[in-house]
Amino acid sequence: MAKIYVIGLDSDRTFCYFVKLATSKGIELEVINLREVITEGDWSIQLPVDGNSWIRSGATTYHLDPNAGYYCRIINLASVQSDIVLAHRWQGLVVALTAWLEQIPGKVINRPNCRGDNSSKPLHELSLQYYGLKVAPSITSSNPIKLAEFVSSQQAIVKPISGIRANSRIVKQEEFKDFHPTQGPVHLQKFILGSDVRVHVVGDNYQAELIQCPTVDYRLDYQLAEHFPNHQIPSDLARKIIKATKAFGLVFAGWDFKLTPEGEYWCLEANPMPGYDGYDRRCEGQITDLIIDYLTPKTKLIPTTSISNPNQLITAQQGASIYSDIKALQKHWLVRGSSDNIFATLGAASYLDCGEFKDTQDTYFQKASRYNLILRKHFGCLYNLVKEYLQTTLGAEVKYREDAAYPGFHIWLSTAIPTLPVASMHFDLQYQYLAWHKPENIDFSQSLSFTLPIQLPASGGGLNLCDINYIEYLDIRQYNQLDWDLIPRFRSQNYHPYKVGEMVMHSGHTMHQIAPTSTVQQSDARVTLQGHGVCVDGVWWIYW
Amino acid sequence: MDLLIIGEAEDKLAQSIVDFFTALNKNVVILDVLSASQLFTLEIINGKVSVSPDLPMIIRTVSPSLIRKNFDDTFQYEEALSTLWAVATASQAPMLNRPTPHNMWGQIASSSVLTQVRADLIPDTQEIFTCHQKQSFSFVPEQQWYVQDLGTYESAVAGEVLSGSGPYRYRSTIAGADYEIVVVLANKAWRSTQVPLEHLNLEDRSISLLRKLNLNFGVVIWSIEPNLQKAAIARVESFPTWEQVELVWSELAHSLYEVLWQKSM
Repeated sequence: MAKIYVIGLDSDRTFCYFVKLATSKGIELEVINLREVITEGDWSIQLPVDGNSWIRSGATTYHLDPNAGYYCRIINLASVQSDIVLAHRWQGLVVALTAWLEQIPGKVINRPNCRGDNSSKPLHELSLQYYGLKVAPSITSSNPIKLAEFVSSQQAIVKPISGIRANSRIVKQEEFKDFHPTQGPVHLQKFILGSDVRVHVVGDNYQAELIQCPTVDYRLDYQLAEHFPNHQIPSDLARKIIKATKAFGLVFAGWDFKLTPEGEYWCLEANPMPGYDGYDRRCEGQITDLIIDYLTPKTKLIPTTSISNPNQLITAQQGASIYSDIKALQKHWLVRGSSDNIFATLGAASYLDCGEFKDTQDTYFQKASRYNLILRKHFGCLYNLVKEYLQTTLGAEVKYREDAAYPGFHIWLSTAIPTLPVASMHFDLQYQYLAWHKPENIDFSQSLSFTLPIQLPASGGGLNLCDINYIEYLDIRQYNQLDWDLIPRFRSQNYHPYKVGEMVMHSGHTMHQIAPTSTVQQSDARVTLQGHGVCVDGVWWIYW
Repeated sequence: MDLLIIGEAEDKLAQSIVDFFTALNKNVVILDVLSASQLFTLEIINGKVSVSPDLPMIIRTVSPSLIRKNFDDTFQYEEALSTLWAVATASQAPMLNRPTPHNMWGQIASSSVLTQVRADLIPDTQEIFTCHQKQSFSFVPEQQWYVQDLGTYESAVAGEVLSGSGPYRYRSTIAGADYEIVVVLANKAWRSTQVPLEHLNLEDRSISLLRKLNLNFGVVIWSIEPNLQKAAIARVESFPTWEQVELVWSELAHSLYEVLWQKSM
């Protein structure tokens, strides 16, 4: 069995617990005590990762295997040193080691550079709500009147704002009577009456414990608490926190909830470095087993041979030729923006021609019947190529909807090309504008959107995809008033760079946005073929 | 107040911003972390967030000392900084280098290799972090090894003895390089010299680099091969000094006005 590296401090109870239990299970460990490395050790850590890095502790040299599993509880003790030389050593080692761990191919619990907002409780609490979790109202302020008002309207607890560990307690209105703003800021949160639930997520699995305690903080009054391991949480909640754990860049997280007598789960926080030993003892080591299982490699990676890009539909040269044809058809462009910033389409687009600003004199369907003729005449080969590609990729029959618009071209010229993230973040819901046969039998959540870049600015172009789908969006919106303009700040985003001729497909139900181009030259153009698809009785119907 | 700069009154760049905007009848105030945090009230009720006052901000704090002075001061500083992190991330007002839930300072790392990896670039440099000074180095064609003491930040050609006690960061970079500073603000960038380097697309590459590091303001220092044919990232700075932006200040200042008083940033 492959060995697991454990990196932490010998004074950390959880670190010692893991080492002892994993060793008793026969797991081969390389245990690196950072305190020893600082006082009597040495290191050489190389980047990019090349397999030549090592850490020495006393007489033992640990060769750091970049393909191994690492369980890390790295705590930087630089700030509590009295000797500046030792403080610099702590800082230097932690910087180097975390940089290395962030890049290695092996599995790491938890990889550095995970989401850090647990160190700002108000931000963390807001963040959790963007993942569909219920979080109690809060205020963070230095204003005694506002703080007192908050406490007068509900029972509230006071918590540290930063990640510093402290106990929570109920706060009273009179405590703000002599409060001066220079004593602030203070973070208050509505107190939720109920039991506590601690859920440890490891990858796709979890282990939960119910805790019943008559006082506010069961960690403080542990002798009064009753613990019930193997607690089952609702599957919807489990799905949400497993997804959020991954989105936060974590494998292992300790989630804290309050469970009300009505059965509602209110999220308190997701701890990125949980001290899990007490919970693990009560569930007979199940959390440790999950950690070991995750860190132990299951299969050997098989090197893959490179194959030509199957998504490459046309060459750059063909793209240039198509762009030339599009320019020759400029008199047919439907200009959508101002004359200074040319944004146009060649073809009807349901999101533009059926939407809020539709032209009732020249409807989407009228435009579609006119433009389909033009598009088919000039780009027939391209449509055949796209259809063949979609049929192969989707493994089903593909048809263009003749009563709707064919996929058409988005055309941006120079100054119209966005250089800032100002394009709208949206879902592709334009299927709602079209009539479908027996819509009750159609799964619109599986709808398709595709883009084939024809011409791109010199500095490139692409798509920003946000990790939220339309169904999740509707679910979250049901019970809170999140500002959806802030979604890109709180949900993970991926930038997908475009390449001329390379097809990009995604679910229209995934939130997305045209990614800004860094700089635009006068001669630049951004031209893409755009289309959507809906599957009806095994046939994909394509339109724009 | 029209603009809050969180930083130090002695910060020359902050002071230049104050002077520029004051001349345009804008009220700009510089406050330290604690005083700034005490200005704000952040309420979150059923997902609805309200920041009061919600005003444009530039956060230019300096790191606290590595060794904490006492627990209470450190605690209050951390509480204040965490408040500002939340306020700035949730604010609707324009901001330079808005923090994210991921971290407060963008994605620039203390390792140059890691910074490049985070920006989706293939690293063009090598780094070795050590506890003690190294005596031998692998040969990298057309590159030179440099060493930095991570305690004193003193740098030298690798092999020279530094006066501090480490630890050390070794880095390979272009031998005999010259340097070009590119100042970036949102979708604009300015080079600091008139050297004909257009073929290297440094402005475009700098904007793209900062964007991938979740920053909209900063400086990218490029090391340029003596024959001017190749550029490599020498350093990325999200807290530029006055000296780093001085040569393009006029363009930068006017663009700051656009960025800080329009809503879409």
